[in-house]
Amino acid sequence: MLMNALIVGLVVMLAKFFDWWGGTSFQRPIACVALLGILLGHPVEGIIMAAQLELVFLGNVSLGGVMPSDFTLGSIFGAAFAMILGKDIAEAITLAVPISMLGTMLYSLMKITVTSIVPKFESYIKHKNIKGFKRLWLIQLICFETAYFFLGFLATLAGTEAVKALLNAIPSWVQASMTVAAGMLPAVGLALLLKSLWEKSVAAYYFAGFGLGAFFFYNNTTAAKIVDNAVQLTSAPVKMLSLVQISFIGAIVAAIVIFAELKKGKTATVAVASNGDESEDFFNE
Amino acid sequence: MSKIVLDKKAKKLVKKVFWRSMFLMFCTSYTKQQGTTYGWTMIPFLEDIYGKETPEFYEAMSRHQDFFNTNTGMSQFIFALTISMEEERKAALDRGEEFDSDAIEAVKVSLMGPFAGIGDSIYTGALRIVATGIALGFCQQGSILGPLLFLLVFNVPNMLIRWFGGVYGYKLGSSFVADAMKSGKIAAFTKGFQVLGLMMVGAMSAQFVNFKTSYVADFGGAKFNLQAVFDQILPGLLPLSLTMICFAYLRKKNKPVRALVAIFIAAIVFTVLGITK
Repeated sequence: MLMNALIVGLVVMLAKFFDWWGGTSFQRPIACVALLGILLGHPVEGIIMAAQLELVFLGNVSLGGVMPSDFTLGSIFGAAFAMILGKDIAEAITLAVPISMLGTMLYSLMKITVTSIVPKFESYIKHKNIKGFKRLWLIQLICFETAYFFLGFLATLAGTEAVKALLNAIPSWVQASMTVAAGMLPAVGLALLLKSLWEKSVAAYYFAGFGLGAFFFYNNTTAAKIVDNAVQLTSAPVKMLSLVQISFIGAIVAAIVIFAELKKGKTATVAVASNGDESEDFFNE
Repeated sequence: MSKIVLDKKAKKLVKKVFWRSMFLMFCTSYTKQQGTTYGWTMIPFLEDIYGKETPEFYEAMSRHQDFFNTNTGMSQFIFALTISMEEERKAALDRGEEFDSDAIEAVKVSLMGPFAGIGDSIYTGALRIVATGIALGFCQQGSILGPLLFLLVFNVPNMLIRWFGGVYGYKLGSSFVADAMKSGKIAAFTKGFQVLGLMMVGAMSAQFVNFKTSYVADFGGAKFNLQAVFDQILPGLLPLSLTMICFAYLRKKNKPVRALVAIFIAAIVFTVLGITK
């Protein structure tokens, strides 16, 4: 248990560090939960959970310093408890969503703490003490990381038994519902993304992408049995175009759009330029 | 666009901008956002320009710790640009000319807004979605390639943009941005990223929203399979409808948490009624 707690603390700390250092996107569930799974000794399970949690939180991004929900904390804890207790993805999501909301409050608390030391930074510069400025900056970095490490460590150490009792108390119909919800939840994430990208003039491309993803499939036979002297086949649809292939097509379409826009921009500036007289530099480009 | 050649000193400077700017998001506060760390990042550059512990250095430091907020992946351009402006300022002051420091502040303030917008559309709008889309398939098979590909597809362009942002910021100066905005180049690329992002979101709605009904009615031997009917109308009809309903709701009211809770409730109701399993 101590080892598990150390691992969770470490992953939380790393995720929080590489979220901000270089903006590497390591804080996304798809990356940090995968690492968590590998360290906890459930690599395959962890990576599958990483994908499913990523889908749930796909639309959650922090923009302009505002964090709508701390999906990093939520998914790490959700996945960690599920893996340690031998539960599966439905339980991970059930835990991840509420924890991510608690995480936001914690983040606000952190930011308030930082805000309270800002005047200190100002006074260091005012009193010409650059050493003090550098030192305080380093201290806040170390404190921030240590705080998240201990959060992960202590919550795992102290919380696992309580979470186990909680999960075991959930009746089976709720668990079945959670599995259904796990499939449906990506819709919220995608809708959030859609909201940030949607514009009437380009909305059709969304449906083009949907068509590519949905319409090309074949029925893969999964089982066969004999009923009334006739063979009855069970089959499941398998998608023919992977997202890698669709992103290839998407890049082509995007290139066409960019070139068309650039051309349009050029004719527009030429049209404007022919009316004005300080337009020489456009042609000399 | 002419080719950019960096001399040794400039290359060293751009490298330093690249590494120090990695920390920009740390120490963000409600009052100054990234302002404090903007100042921290500028320390060695300002020390080089104005000399250590000089009054000019502290004067410049107090300017550079004012409010600042942009997309961290685009900040290198602004850092490099302000450094080159500080260098110009120092040279002008040495010649006994005037160089209003407000001009430097004005460049920072005028660039951080548009750069945040462009950066968000590149990083969170397109790059992240493509990287996620490529990685998800591998992840669902439990392959380690998934998370590795995600990090690579995202971070190779991320690091390149950071590096060349510094290069162009240092070399091109502020007029470049104004030109790029005016000629519509930035708008064209933003639109391209938007299109790519939308197509990927569409494809993901089809492949990753898993919502189908298991409802089968039995009319005296004749089985009526509801999902088969939906599939005949349009494959993926239910996932598309669900995504569109969420989108319509979120567009009106920005309450993602409520949408999440509503889905949990809907899942329970459907399962209890036996529509899904």
